[in-house]
Amino acid sequence: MNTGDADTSYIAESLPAFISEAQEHVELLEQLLLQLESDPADRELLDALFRSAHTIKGSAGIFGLDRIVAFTHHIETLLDQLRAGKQDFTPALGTLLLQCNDQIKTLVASVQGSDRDIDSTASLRDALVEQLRAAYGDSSVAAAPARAAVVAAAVAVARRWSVCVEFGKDLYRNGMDPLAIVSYLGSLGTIHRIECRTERVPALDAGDPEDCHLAFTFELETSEPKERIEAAFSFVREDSTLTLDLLGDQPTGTVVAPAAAPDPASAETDAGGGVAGAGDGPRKPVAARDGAVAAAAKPSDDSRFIRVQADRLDYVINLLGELVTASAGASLLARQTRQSHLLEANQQIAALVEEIRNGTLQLRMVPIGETLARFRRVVRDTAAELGKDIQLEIIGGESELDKSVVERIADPLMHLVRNALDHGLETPAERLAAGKQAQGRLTISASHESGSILIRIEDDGRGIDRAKVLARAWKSGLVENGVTPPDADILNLIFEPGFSTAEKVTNLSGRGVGMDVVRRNIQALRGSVTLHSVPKQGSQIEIRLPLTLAIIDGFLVGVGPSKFIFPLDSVVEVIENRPTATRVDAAGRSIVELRGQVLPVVGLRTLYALESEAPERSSVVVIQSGSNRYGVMVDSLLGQHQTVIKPLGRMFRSLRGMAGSSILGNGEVALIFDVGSLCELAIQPPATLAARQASISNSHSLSQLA
Amino acid sequence: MATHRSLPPEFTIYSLANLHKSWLAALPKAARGKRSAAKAAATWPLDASAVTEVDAAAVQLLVSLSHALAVRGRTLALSNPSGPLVHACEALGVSFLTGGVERPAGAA
Repeated sequence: MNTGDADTSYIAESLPAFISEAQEHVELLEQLLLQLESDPADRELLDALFRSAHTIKGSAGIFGLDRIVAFTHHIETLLDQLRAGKQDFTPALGTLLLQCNDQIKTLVASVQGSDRDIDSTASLRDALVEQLRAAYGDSSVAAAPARAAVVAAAVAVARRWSVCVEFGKDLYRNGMDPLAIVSYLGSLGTIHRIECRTERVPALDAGDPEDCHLAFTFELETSEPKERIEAAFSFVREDSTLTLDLLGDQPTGTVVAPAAAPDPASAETDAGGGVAGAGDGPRKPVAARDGAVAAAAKPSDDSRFIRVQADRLDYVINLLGELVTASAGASLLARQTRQSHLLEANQQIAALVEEIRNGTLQLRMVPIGETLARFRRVVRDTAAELGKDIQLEIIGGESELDKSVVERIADPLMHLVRNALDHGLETPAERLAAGKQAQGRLTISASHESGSILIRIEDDGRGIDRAKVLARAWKSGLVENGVTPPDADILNLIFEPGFSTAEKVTNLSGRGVGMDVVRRNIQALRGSVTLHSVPKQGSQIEIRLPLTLAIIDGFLVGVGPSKFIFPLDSVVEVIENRPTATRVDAAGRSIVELRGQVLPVVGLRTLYALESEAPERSSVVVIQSGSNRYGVMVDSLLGQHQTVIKPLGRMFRSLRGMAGSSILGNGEVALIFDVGSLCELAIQPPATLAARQASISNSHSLSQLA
Repeated sequence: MATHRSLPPEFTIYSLANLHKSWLAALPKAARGKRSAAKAAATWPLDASAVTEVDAAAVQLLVSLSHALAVRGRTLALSNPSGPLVHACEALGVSFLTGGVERPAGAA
C-alpha cells in the first residue's frame, strides 16, 4: 500500500497527542467512576464513562496499540451493559473498574517509553480481564485463543466487506463529514456499489439542512483488518449505526453484526471473524442513539483547544520578561529626551506590551480543579484503607492560576489532604462517640483573593491536640521544656523541621516528609500557609499563592536611593505620613491613625537599616495581606511598574519580607516585597518571642488546651 | 426562469443556511391538478460550475432540493457541475444529481 509511509510518519507525529489525550481520558474515567460511586443511577455519567473508554479504544486502534484496544474492549463491554441497565453499578464493580483504569494508565505510559509490554503487570491485567469477563458474563472465554489464531492467518488476504452505515443527526454539527470518511475508506481499498439511501433525506421544506440524514450501503474490498475499517468510523460511532458484514471467502463463517442485537453474549459468538480481544464487538449500534444528544456537545468542545508544548510557552514568557524590561528602559530614555513624539510612541508600545503580557500570562493559566479532582481517588482509597467514612467536597475548581504553580502545589496539597485523612478525621465509631455524624467531611476549596489564590483544606475531625504538640515540641527540643508559647505559635510548631505527631508511623504519613517540607514548598512559590484548629471540631489550613510566578503589576516606591516594589493587587491606598506622637521601636514600627482606626506601620529605613536622610515629607502605603492591613512608610511614590520577577541571589534569600527582585528600565535593581512576611514584621507584637520564655504555669496552659 | 441561480465556490455546511433560505423562497408553488401535467417536464436549473469545495452536508442539501422539486413536478438540473462536485456525488453514490448515473429506483 503506497499510503504506508505516510501512515507511519503520521503515527509518529500524532502519538504524543494520543498519549496526552489518553491520559486525560484516563483521568476523566477515574473522576467519573468516583462520581458514579456516589450516584450509581446517573445515566449521563455512565454514558460519559462509556464515551471515554470508547475514545481511548478508538484512538488506540488508529495507532495499532492492540494491547490497549484489547484491554479497553472488555471495560467497554462491561460499561455498555451497565449503560443498557443490564447490571447495576456496585461498589465492587467500581473498584474493579478503577483498577482496570490504573492498568490503562500503565499501558498508555508504556507506549510513551518503549512499546514492550510490562511483563510484571501483564498477569495482573489478565486477572482483571478474567474478572471483567466474569462481570459481564462472557461465555466464550476459552474460544478466544483459537479465534485469534484463525484471524491472524487471514489478515493479509483481501476480503470484501458489506458496509451499511447510518450517520447520526448531529454529525455535521460535530464537525464531521461523511465524505471524508468515505474517502478515507477508499484509501484502505476499493469501494464498490456505493448507494446513498436518498429516501431518508427529507425534502428541502421538511427539514433542517444541518441535520444529517445520510445513510449508505456499499462494499469495500480491502486486506485491512476489521478494526481498521471500524476505526474510520471511530469519531462518529457514538451516534451512528454501523453494520459490517464479511462477504466472499473467509476462514470462519460470516461475521454478522446484528444492527439491533444488544445481547453481548450472542454478539461475541457471532463474531467468529472478529479479532479476538482486539476485535470490536459488534454491539456498537446498540443504544448508541440514546447517547447521541449528550455526545454531541463533546467533540465541539475539544475543537476549541490547541495543544501547545509548555516549554515553547515558557520561552515566550521569558522573552516577554526581557521585552517588558527593555520597554521600560526605552520609556525612560524617551522621557529624558523630552521629545513628545517619541514619548507618545513609547507609551503606545508600553501599552501594547502590557496587553501582550496579560494575554500571554493568561495562556499559562489553568483551572486548579484538575489537580483538586485527583484527590477524590486519594480520599476514597485512603478512607477505605483506614476504615473511615469521608465525604470530600471540592469547591471553586474553576479558579485559575499559573500552570507551574498548579504543578508545584499538587504535592504539598496531597500531603495536607493525607494528613487530614490520617490524623484529623476520626473513624465512624470515634465520631459517633464524640457526638458527630459518622461520616467525616473534608472540604477543599479554592478562591481568588486580592491577587492571589486561597486554597483551603478544612476537616471536621478531632482538631489539633495542643497538649500533644507541646509535649512533642518539648521532647524534641523545639521549645524549651516547660515553656508554653502562645496558642498560635503552638500550632505553627507542626511546621517546624523534625516535627511529627503520628503515634504510629502509618503507610500514609510519617514518611519523613513533614509539614516543614510542605511549608517550604509553599514559601518557595511565594505563598504562605496558615493553620487554624479548634479541638474536637476540626482544622483548617489556608494556603495563599500568587497567581503567577513570572510577571506582576507592581507599585514602585523609593526610600532614599533604594527602590522597592509592592504587588499592586495588595496596595489598598496611599496616605500622607503625618508626624505622630507614637514611639518608633527598634524594628522601625509605629502606628498611625487611619479614619479612626489604628494602623500598624513599619518604616523601611529603620527596618532594613538604609543609610540615607529621611525627607521632610513621606508617605504610607497601606497594604492588605490576608485579613490584615498595615502601612509601610516610604519616601517617594514612583507609580505602577510592570515587574518581571527574578529570584533573589543566595546571599539575600534570608532577607525577611522580600520575595524577589526586578530589574528596572535604567538597570537598577528593585526588591519585591512579600506582603505576607512583611506583615508579620509589621504587626507581630514584640512580645511574641519573649512569650516563649514567659513563665505561665504548665498545668494552667494544659487545662486550657484540653 | 429570470433569475440566475448558482452554487457558491464554497459549497459546504457553512453556506447551507443561506442557500436553504433562498431556495425555499424560490421553490415553485406545489404542483396541483392540470398545471402539473403541463409543467411535468420542466427543469429547475442551477449553475454548479463554481463549486471548488464541497462536503456531504452540501450534497445532502442537493438531494433535499431535488426531493422538494420532484413533489412540485420539476427536476433539478445542475449545469456544468465542477470537478469537485462530480467527484463528491460519485463518492457518495448520488451521481444522478450531476447526470452521471440513473436515479436509483428506490429514491423518491
